[in-house]
Amino acid sequence: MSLLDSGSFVSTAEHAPADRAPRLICGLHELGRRQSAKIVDVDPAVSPRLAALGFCKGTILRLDRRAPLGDPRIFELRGTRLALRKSDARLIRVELI
Amino acid sequence: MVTTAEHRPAGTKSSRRFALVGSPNSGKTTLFNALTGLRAKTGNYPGVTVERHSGALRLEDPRQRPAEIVDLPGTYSLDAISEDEAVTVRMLRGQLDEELDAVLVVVDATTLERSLPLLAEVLTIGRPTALVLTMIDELRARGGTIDVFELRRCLGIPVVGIVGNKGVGLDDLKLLLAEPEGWPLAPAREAHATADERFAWADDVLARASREVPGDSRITRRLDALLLHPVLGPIVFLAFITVFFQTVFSGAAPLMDAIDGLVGSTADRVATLLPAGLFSDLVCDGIIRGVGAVLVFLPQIVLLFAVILFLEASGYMARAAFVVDRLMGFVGLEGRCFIALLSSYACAVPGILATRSIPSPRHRLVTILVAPLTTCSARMPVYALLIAAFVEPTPVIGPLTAQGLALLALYFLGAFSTLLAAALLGRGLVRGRSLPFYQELPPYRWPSLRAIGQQIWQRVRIFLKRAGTVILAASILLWALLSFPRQDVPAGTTEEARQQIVLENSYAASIGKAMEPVFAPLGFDWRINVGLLGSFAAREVMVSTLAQIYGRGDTDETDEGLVGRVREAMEPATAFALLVWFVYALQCISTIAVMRRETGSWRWPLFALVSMGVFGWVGGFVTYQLAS
Repeated sequence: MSLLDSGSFVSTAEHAPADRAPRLICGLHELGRRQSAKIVDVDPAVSPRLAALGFCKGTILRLDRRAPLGDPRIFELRGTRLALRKSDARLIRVELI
Repeated sequence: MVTTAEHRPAGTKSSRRFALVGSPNSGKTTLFNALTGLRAKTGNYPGVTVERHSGALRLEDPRQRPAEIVDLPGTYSLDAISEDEAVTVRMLRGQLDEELDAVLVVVDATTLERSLPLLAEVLTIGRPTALVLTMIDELRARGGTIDVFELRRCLGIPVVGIVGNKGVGLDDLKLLLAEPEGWPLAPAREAHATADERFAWADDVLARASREVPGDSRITRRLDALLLHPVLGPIVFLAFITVFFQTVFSGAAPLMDAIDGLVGSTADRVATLLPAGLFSDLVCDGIIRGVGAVLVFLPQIVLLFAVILFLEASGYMARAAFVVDRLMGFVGLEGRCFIALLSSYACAVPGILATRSIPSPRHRLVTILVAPLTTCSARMPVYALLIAAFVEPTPVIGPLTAQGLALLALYFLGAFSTLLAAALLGRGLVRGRSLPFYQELPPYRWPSLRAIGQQIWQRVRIFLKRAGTVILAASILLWALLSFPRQDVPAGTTEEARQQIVLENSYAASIGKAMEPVFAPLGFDWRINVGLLGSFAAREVMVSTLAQIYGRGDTDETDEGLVGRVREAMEPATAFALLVWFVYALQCISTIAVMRRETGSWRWPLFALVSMGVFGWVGGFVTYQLAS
């Protein structure tokens, strides 16, 4: 099972207890503008440099905007704004909040 | 004054050494400048090409203890995945033969959530450590808080808040630096193995120190709404490039002409003062004119760095790299490489120095290797001379003449070759680790002009040092090759004729003739070969060498006389082949020297020299065969 399998939103509602809202998990690259999410999983292929920048499990972030040509995109996290390319963002799995 | 640390008896007034550790953009350099009063010494760490800054702590009271501050390269973590980080780790662990008394971890108070994990890593090393919070004024202005007292209690180490560029908090910090022995050591704790754990630790510490995250900087919001706008952003970006070029080329022109004039008049003046003869020739032609030909570029380099450093410090450079990143991605590079290549249009030397901001070693190396293919301004005089001599100024479209079109074609050929070479090198030849692209977008800030001035001076110093060493030696060598062996000329020969005779029998001429078998397929005769030899000192020396060879006279490249003489002496096909050769060939000692310095070995400059020579030869050969 690879992180890359999730081409679109995956709802895990059927596994969640009935009293909890469904969790929406997707790739970081799929966030819409101004959408917030929490990192739930980081592919081991991701460079430790990105982890040191704050892209690690538990971090809450938000997509600020995309570049005029569509890529890269700016994320707001931990009081900073960082641009990542889609190819790196898709290795990070987030839960929408 | 630095005493050796090992033999220092405790409690004497000997020098201490403190290291500054912090992420890029943490205000580390501003603090360093404030503590040392801009009296930094720069150099490289032994064995590596990472730049080293250190300086003496500025003391108000001479009875205070002297201290040396070492500014370690900016780093986000101590993972040691880059050379910068490896240097920091080795320094902190005491593996660099430099005793360290204590560490100051410098952290931007507005980005504590991101920056504090670095402190966790430094604390595991076990040296006396203090935390310095910078930009506390900006933290307040943006409505953020941090309880420094509580933070001190939680961490168990000294914590000082400062505003580096305004000097706030520096007195407290200096008091602290006077007594590193008295610093409480952080309580021993188990090391955090992963980044996740370090971030969790940081969040926990900050929550206890009643941290409130600062709000957005309103100016940054508004500026980014414009500068990163899907339509307006690229327009501003194009305007930025235009202004950039305009400033660097037109803005520097008067000063460059002035230096050129000064060099010429100095050489003439010295020539009248010294008795005519070999020594006078050496001083005037070899030293003054030779080094002067390179010094002419000084205004352009200063201006280029002024613009780049201002945009970098203000925060726009990060946006420009962000906007253009997608395009650079097509050739396997990233946004920051574009900025370095743009600078190379003025001169590859500052362009190569500008690659230091590229974090990924592979991207950086590829950019260094292709930078000499951009059409630097030293090629302009050669292009201008040959185009004026062999292309008619017939109008093509509107104000564009065939001459303008030819110049444009040469620029296009250079740009196309640069990108193609980058794509090829990035895909195959250059291996090495590639980091993912990431770019921090700091809030817009008003740059400190003093700090910019200091950084410009550092680069100018590198340039002048090279002009005084490598280029001086090359000029003298070239002069000697062109002037020896001495010839006996019959009495009554004019000075012009004498010089012509000396030149035709010189060692340079022998070398030029020896080069003929190689360059004959391109249509180059020995005279042009001598010019190629001369252009290694600086490309535009080609023009003055051609002027010497095709008869004495004014060396001014706009001079109709030289254009006419070149037109008579050279076949058009040869001229076109020569132009193509100049697009590719790496004939520039300064560039080779700076490539050696920045890549740390002769391997890459030699690779570039040979491969660009092959491209130039093949391109020139094809051009000559097609044109003749």
